[in-house]
Amino acid sequence: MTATLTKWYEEHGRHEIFAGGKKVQMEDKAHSLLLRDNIVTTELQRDLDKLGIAKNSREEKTRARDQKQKQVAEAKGEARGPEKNDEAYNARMASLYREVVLKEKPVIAENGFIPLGALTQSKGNGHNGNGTHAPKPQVAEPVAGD
Amino acid sequence: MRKPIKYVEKAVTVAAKGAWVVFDRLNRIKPNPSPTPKWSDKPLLKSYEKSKPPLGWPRTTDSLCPKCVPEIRQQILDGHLPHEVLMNEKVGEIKAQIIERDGKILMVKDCPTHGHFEDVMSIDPEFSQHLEDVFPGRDIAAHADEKLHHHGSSTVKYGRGSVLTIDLTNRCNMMCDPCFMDANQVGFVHELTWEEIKTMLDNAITIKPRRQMSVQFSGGEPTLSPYFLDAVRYARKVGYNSVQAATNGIEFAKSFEFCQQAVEAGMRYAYLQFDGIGNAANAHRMVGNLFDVKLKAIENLHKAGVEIVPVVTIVNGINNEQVGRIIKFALDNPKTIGFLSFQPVSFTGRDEAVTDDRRVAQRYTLSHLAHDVKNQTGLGEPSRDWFPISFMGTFSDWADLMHVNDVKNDWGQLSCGCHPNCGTGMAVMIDKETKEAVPVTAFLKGDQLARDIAKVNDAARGKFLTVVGMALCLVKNYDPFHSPTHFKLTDLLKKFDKNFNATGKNYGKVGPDRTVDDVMKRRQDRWNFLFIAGMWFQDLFNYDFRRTEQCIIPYATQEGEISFCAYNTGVDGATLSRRCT
Repeated sequence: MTATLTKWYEEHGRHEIFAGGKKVQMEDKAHSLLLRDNIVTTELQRDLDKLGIAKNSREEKTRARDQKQKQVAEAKGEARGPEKNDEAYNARMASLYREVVLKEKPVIAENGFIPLGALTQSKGNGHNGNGTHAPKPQVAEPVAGD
Repeated sequence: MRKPIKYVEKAVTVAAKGAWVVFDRLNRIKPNPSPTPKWSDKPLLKSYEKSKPPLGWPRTTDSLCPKCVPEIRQQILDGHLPHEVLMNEKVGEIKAQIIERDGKILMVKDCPTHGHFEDVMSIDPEFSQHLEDVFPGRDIAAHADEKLHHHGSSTVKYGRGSVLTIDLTNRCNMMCDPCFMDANQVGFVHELTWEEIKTMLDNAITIKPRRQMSVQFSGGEPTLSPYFLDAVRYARKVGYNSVQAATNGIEFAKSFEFCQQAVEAGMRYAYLQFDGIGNAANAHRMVGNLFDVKLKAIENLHKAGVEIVPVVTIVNGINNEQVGRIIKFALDNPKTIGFLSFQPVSFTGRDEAVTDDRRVAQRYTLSHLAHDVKNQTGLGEPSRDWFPISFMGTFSDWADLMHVNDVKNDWGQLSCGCHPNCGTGMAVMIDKETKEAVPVTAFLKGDQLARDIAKVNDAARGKFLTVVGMALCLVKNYDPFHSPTHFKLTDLLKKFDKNFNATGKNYGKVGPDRTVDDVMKRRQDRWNFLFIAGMWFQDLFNYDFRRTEQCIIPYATQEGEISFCAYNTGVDGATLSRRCT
């Protein structure tokens, strides 16, 4: 080992890495090779997708993580893990979003009444792009027949 | 309608068969003892003196447990086990059986702790049987190698190898999956200093037999090393004719000037990562325009004087449909592409913890390759036209014998003595003008040719009779009616002369004093001898110590020269090597 990655970057700086769809900048793409259209691939080979099998270790790790989360959720007695169009899950996520991101306090009924302060608009935290704008002016929508 | 010359050649081959009978009879009388060349302390081996590992099936071999090995490696890294156990004990080793079942060759093994493992070695037993049948045997035992070959069960024992890989850095400018180097993901940088590079190259020439090898600078991406060009230059200086870079091509695509600098330093081959034709076929590498990069790299490198070897990692279900397209691309560009290297996936490095489902679905063997080539291109019969890489050993033996008394005979010929399960290849003769392509063994009887040449070698005569013997072997086994339309018998003899330098004619130098003019001169040949090779690296599911001990593609490290698969897969693997040195 020459150095830890952190130390190496400190001393030598980072080198460029081409990943995540990043393109390599070249002076031009010109070449003299014969490239027949009928051998050029335009679509990914999808054999494994059809079989539902992961294509690489990254996908396997993602699937394993999701599976683990699901098992943990089940062990805690929570109804289900994330599933598409799952209303209960979506509602729970929406609640978490309001509480953690928008910093809204959960509305707790007091003596059977909801306090008025809980109905105010979110102030936002200024970091996530939400809640920092001025309130939208209310403009009357045109109504047919006006 | 055949050309008239073909009939004349047919008559010549018939005459050669008659002449061979006489030559062979006389040649068997009092054969000479094998000479000892300057580059070896041991004599050249006659064909019947060559050793072979146990072959065929069922057979038992020494393997590794896929679960024990990562655990042991981690224990060493955590300091719970001393690394010396790798040299003194058989850690992680279990027995394995190689068997035939349901028309496939399998490796099956049981670990007392982790249970049963099995994996496919071949989907065509006839093909595998053929490869093992024509395996000529191992090279001269390695000697003067005690300081560099000392890795317990993983020690390389035979020959000198044919490709010496030096990882200049584990840094890379891509983030591929699969990557058996696990580049950019291990949390540390391992990069050789200039002194270390020089020491490795100096050490490499101390091992005997001292053979010519391709010195391959690898990584990570070797061009990221600040010493890349100096390393190429120094490898040439110590006497290696063939210096190459295992590269993704990005730096070469970006700059033609960089290609020229590499050629000036002595780079001969670019071992170019190449997954398929079109950007979609390269999309899994996650670079937006990777195929455009490959084409530009080929353009720049070829123009500068570097020969291109596209290297294709083949994964079943991911890009095995590319086999035919890539070969067609090579056939369309015979002046540029002279060698194709397919590498069936090895589940190691980033893929070591592969799930069983994925491993079964993605497993790709040499037999898959031979069949995909036939099915997708119509080229070659798996059990006729494919040979083990080590098949060329007989030809190297012949050249070793022919040159044994040359004044400047300081190096043995490049020779592949690898296990027949490791590598295979098919040679195709392509007319650069018409692009007609025919497998060489369709018009040259490969099996018989090797047997005949072995007889010439075993007699150990002087240079003249050795050359005459080879010429007779070639002519008698040549079938002019099945060779390419414009191919002549003299073209065949010239091809061999160009490769083995029997007559001394200058086809363009390949030695340390080679110039760009020499490169261009060698390219003038009308015939491209396209070699389609398959090199199957082991993973923990098919590991066989009989293969590692005769490895021909060792890694040079600060801890000596280690078998390729031991380095990338075995318990004493790259992670340990790089982290501990």
